[in-house]
Amino acid sequence: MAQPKLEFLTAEEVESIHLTSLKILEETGVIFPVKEALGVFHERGAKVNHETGLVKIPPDIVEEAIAKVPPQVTLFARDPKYDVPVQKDTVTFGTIGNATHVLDLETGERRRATNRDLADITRVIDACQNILHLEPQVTPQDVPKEASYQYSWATTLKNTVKHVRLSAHGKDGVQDGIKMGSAIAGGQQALKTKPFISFMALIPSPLAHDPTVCEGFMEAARLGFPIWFESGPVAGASAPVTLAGALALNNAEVLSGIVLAQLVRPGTPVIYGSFLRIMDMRTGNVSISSPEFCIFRPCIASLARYYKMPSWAGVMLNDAKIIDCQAGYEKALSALMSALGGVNLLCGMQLDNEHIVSAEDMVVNDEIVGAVLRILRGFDVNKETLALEVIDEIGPRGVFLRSRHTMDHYRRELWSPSITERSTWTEWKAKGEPDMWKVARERTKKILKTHEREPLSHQVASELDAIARQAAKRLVKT
Amino acid sequence: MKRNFEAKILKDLTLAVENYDSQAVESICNTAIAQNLDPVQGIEEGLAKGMEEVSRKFEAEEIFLPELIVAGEAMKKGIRILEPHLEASRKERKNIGKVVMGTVAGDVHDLGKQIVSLLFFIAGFEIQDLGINVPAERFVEAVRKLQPDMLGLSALMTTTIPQQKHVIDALRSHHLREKVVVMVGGAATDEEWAEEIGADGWAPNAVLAVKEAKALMRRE
Repeated sequence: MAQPKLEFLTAEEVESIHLTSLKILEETGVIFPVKEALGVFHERGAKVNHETGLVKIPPDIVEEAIAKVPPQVTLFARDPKYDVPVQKDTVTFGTIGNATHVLDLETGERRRATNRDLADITRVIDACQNILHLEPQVTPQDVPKEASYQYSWATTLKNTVKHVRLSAHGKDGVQDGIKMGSAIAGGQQALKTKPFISFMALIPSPLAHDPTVCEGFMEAARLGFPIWFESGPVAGASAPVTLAGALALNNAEVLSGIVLAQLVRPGTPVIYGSFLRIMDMRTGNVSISSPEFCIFRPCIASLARYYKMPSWAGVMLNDAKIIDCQAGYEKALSALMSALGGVNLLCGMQLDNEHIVSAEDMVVNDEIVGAVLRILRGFDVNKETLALEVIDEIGPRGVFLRSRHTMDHYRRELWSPSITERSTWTEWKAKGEPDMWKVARERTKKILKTHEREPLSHQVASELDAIARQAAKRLVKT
Repeated sequence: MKRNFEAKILKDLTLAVENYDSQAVESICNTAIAQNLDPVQGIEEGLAKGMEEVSRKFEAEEIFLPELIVAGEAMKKGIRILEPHLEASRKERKNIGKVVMGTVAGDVHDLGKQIVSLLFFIAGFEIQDLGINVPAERFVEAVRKLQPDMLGLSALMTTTIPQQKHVIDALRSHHLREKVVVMVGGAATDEEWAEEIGADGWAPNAVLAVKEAKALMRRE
């Protein structure tokens, strides 16, 4: 059978969103508060206001840039076993960064994240079989704040062999990240051949780039590293409340970044992405796990497919504060809809509106992703799986568990949960009535005790630390 | 007769705000000025009364933020028309406090601050918005010149929240810290941080920021 697909947009609707975005770029324009960027646009013939930084990009420049984006990208990993080649139908899961708090593994209480927490969380993710790429999930609050990116990169790179996404935080920041990667790879050339790091470029909505990030992604493009683009308009606040308008605005913003990256260096590998979400109109709080959030994801995938670009989106994010029923439904809905929608790289896994991360929540996420990937795989219909002969052989009142056919097929046909409760009431009672949070907590402690990875050499590890310390020296104002 | 006419204008202004109708607010305000209505009366007994009713509905969760804010924008439009005539009437418009707001240096995030500013305005504060990426010196300068009751410092990112501390430190070194109440906010901030850097107030979102600001004003 075909991979199941969920589409909200018809081909004509995708086209009309695209055309609206082109109009936004051409008529409203986008602010690029970076001189160099204005120079690049000016040279290519866009309408540039050098005072305000507003750039109006004609459609031909946009279309030309879109055509230059490589349709596939590989997220290399320090251990090639975890390389993620991103093709048309790829669906994989990963994490996002920058939460400030954790739920303490022992007490379950919310507290500020430390560098040690980041190391632990990263090791747990490293052990999760369904989470394949990551961003430093928390920003440690016990390191110099101005250089918190560099410290969190060092800690993350030391604790996982999977692909790590860094933030395009300024020209210097990108260079720091590449220095760290080069130290691990044994030189920048080796890193460039198989980059196990990439950069995230976040475009603030509506329609105005952040100068630091803009400089950062221009540098990443220049040096040839993959760039994940996103904007995260909040429908009703920084974007129209109508889902179609929010998508058109989001699309224009993301394209504006992609165009600049392609102008800086044609053929720069980019990933088309979105963090599109809504505002809760009662409280004014941003919600990152609404039904509308779920609807947006397949639409983002449709747009990326239309442009023949790899896609990513924020997903499995929670408004829920702890690992409870709300968290479960929010994760499952957004993960399933995004996977069925065909978003290639699904990143998230944070609680409390991106403020909190919990190590044991990763184990829960890993479980849910396992179930979602099982659904996505669908099933085969052929002579062997239709099993006519087996049915005939076992016949009325027979037991199929006795059949060799069951033994041969069950592992592929049926997903086996890892922490999902499927025992009887009596058995569950005997175990002490654990809820999923508790089960995940025990599993997490076990991972932290037993999960070993080949560590970076002492010398490389201290090189990463030194890069972070130097950044702090440069950035912390006295 | 004149009194009846005035009463009708005031009632229409109230209703226009209650109906979220900024066009009506605009035309009634222009009529009011043409008829020499006291602008202070127009604001306080007309526009503000409508806003009170809208705020009541918001508190009661009969309406949500979009209605509240559109009504606030309508009131703002009316005030903008009436205000230039205030001096002629030699009266001052009442406000519950003057607030200077800005996003700190290195941070270009505007959304949260804009929403907070609007809600503050709706609640009756006078607002001066310094914009985004505002260096500490400009905050100090604004506190000295404008003498606000409160300073609001917005920052979204872990890398930029140290700037909130810089601003507070700068106020201290210029002997201005005691002259102004300081509130901080933004996604990467929390109550603990506010306390650590010596801010007077903090809130997790725009609606609660208004409550906190009002409480701080009462304490002053």
